[in-house]
Amino acid sequence: MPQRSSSSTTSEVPRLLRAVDITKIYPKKVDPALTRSCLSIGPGEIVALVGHNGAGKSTLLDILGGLSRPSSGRVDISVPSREIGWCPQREIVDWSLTVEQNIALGLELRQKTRRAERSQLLASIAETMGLIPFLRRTAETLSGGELRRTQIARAIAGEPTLLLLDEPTTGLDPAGIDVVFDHLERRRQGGASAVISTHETSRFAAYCTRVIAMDTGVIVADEPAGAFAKRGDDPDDLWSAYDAIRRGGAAA
Amino acid sequence: MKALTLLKYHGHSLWNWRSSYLGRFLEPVAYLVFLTAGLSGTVGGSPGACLAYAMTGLVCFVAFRSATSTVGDVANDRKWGILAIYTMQGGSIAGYLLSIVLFATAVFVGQLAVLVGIGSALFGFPALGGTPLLLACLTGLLVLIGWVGIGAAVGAQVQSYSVRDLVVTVTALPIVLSAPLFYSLEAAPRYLQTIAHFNPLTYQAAWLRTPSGELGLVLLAAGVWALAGLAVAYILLRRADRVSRER
Repeated sequence: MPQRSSSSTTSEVPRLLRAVDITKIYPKKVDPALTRSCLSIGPGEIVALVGHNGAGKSTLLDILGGLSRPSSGRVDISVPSREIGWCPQREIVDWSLTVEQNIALGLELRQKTRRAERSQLLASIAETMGLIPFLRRTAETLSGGELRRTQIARAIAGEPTLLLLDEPTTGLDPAGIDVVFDHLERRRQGGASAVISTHETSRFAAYCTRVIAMDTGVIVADEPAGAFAKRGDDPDDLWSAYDAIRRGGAAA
Repeated sequence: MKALTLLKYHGHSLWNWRSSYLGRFLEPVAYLVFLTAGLSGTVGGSPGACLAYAMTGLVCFVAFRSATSTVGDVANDRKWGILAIYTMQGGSIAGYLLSIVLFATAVFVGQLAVLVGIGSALFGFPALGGTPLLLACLTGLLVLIGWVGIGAAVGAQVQSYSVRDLVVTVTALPIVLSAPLFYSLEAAPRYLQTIAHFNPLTYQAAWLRTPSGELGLVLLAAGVWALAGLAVAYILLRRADRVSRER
């Protein structure tokens, strides 16, 4: 059986986020969604959260972001809450607002900016995400990929220090996925960090610095991306290593 | 202030979806023009007195209807991640509630302005109740805040559209029809009078019709109602998941 790993981080490095013994039990469910999960995130880390559907990735991200309370355990976040960018798994945007207003809402709640500066920032984000032609359209008129790009733009507006992205690439075309990952890499070099749940395990292997693998609510591996990838037959695909861990029951 | 930022975007939402909000402004006018004016012609006594009586009931009705609108607004904010983003960026539940109350208040003031404007043009301002009506609107504002609180509490707790729709449908019409809003219930069957005793709108309509000399006591009672509604909303919003699983 897979066992829970301890965090691979050390206490000397300043942490942006630390979760200790997080357990989450939903009402009317027998099995916990998360069991005594521990992790910490330092600056300049891009952490891939991999696991099957229902492994507990979204639950963990929701708890890290303060959107859901753990049944036990605690989360300590050392960055101001406005420095967290969040992109949920589902296409959650305000359908009554335009694309521009949705992004501006994320930006304005995060930081106070003058109108001219805000317009400049919005234009820059919209250009990065290929949303310029859709800025004046309400979200209800967008396709799935456009909605997803709007969500990501809202999350990254204002360049927050810590990004929590739950399957941000779902519904994006390959070019869109590259745009997102390239942006994350650029932000990482600037010291920002991200925790990303994704099923783009081959494409993302080249971008992430660390991998946390989950299975049935338990963290079964938490290690540098290079070491994790070597566990599988295909070092360019994180899923190969994940499968190997599940088959062998090896813990980190 | 983050609450005001959120209020601004509630305003954008209203403007973008103005066609769906139009009904909220037209509904009270329709009640005034068709129901109230029609009733005032069928009952005895002075038509003006009947119109003024129903007009205060209409203010009460508009305040109550804001509860059902708030249920939808809060449910959408949870479904669309607005409450989640707001709190994640450091906004408080009290601030969120403030933005909801301010938005509802702005809509309420707009609804009453349209109502009184059209009513005055059709029947004359004195026939609607004159200056005492404006005092009733002030009390109505506190009644509204209490109902907005109740609506926010329901929106915070109910995760399913069908359940929410059921709650609104099952409660809204009986509450409106079992209170003396548009006509007196003195001649109504006993069971209806009994139900009316348990209906908050019965007392709220009475507050709005209380002579201005007793305004202090009325404002105190309405203030307690408003605070109670806000307290319930605050507690249940704090307990609610920031983002609902509803699609």
